[in-house]
Amino acid sequence: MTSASLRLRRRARAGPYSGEVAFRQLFDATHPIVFRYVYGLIGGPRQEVEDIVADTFLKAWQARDHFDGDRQAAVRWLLTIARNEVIDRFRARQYAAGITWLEDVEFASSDLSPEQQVIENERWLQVQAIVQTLNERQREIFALRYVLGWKVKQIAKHLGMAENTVSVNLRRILQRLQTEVQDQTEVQDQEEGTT
Amino acid sequence: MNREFRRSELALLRLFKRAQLNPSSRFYEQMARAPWAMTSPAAGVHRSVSLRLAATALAVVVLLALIVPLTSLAQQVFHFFTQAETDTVDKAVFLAPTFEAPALNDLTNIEQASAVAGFAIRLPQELPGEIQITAASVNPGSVSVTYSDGQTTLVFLQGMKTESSSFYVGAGAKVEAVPVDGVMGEYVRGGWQRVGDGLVWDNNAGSALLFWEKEGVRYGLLVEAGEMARETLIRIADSLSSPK
Repeated sequence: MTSASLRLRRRARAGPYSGEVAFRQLFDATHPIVFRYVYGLIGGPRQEVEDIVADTFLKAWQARDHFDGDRQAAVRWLLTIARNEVIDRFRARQYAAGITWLEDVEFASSDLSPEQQVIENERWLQVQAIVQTLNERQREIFALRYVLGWKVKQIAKHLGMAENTVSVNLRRILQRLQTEVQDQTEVQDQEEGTT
Repeated sequence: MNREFRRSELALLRLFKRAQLNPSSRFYEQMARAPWAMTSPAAGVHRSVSLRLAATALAVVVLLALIVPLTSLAQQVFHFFTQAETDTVDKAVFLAPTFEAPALNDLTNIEQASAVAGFAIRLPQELPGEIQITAASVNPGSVSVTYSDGQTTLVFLQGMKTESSSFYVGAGAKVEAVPVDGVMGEYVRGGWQRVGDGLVWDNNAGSALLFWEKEGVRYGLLVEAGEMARETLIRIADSLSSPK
């Protein structure tokens, strides 16, 4: 086969993000979304989230000729790659019992006092600790709904689930969060009371 | 009930909206070397970093040599391992292993499995004692095979090489460079032990890890349970079948 016919074949199967410029624009526009999603799934540490996001885009780059869709479809495609990357990593890390680190994060501080920031951070750690014990599917629903702010309808479409199933899962997650965050707060109050 | 549900939802949405979940400069430095960023600089706020890195190939090499120790601060980054700043982690969460079924869990037909994986799967030709395959998981880009003799469990991983995959080890871990499979790999003995709510890295834990890369594929042997000497792991790795 001549190099010209190879070029033609490649051009014929090229997708909307096959070119470097188009892919770079996709990366620029979507990496914050993928980063937040992966953070929502694994809860940190930041360096590992970054590694997973980097691998996600490298895999997307390798497969870019096989993708055909608009920007929204591209986001869903990237989130699916990221999710598989998370699963592969934790499957590979079963030797370490599937461990994740929880980190403090900074909060947008314009309307929060230093005291409120401490409380916010404490709540953040409590929520993250509980989220990381949810099953894989619930963690994914949680990340899509609360970290990315997707609507139930979008989540259901992305995961191929009935909207009602998504809603039921969200209610269960929230109930668990309400109960366990409250329990932890009560335990802390008791400990502080005895010291 | 509905009002309470809605209030909880709004509180969570606000919490995550306020949280500054953004990649660090390390990430953008790494991405400046990505294939889609090499020929011309990326648009947007990180343009200056990309411009600097894309200036000349020589500058990239020199700059990267400086960036890695600076951005990783007290962490030492090996080829396959990232050394944490400490041997103790106060807050650790143990994830429920609820993985979905792999694309293929049968290695009887290696050609078929290799087609699913997207690369030529290699398997050890030499295994110690009674150890044999107990599970396999083949997915696009990655393969995991578990071997066991009832006492020792060994996991063999292989996957398409990606630039940044790294395993966290404790500050006290000794990462050794070892010749394996005709290339240089890295070996670590030890593992994270659960202590209370946290973790402590223990160099004397039975687990061990051996990683290497060959012809665009990354390989790893993990001793999950029981004990296996470094030399045995290297012998297993050296016995891998040739790619077909």
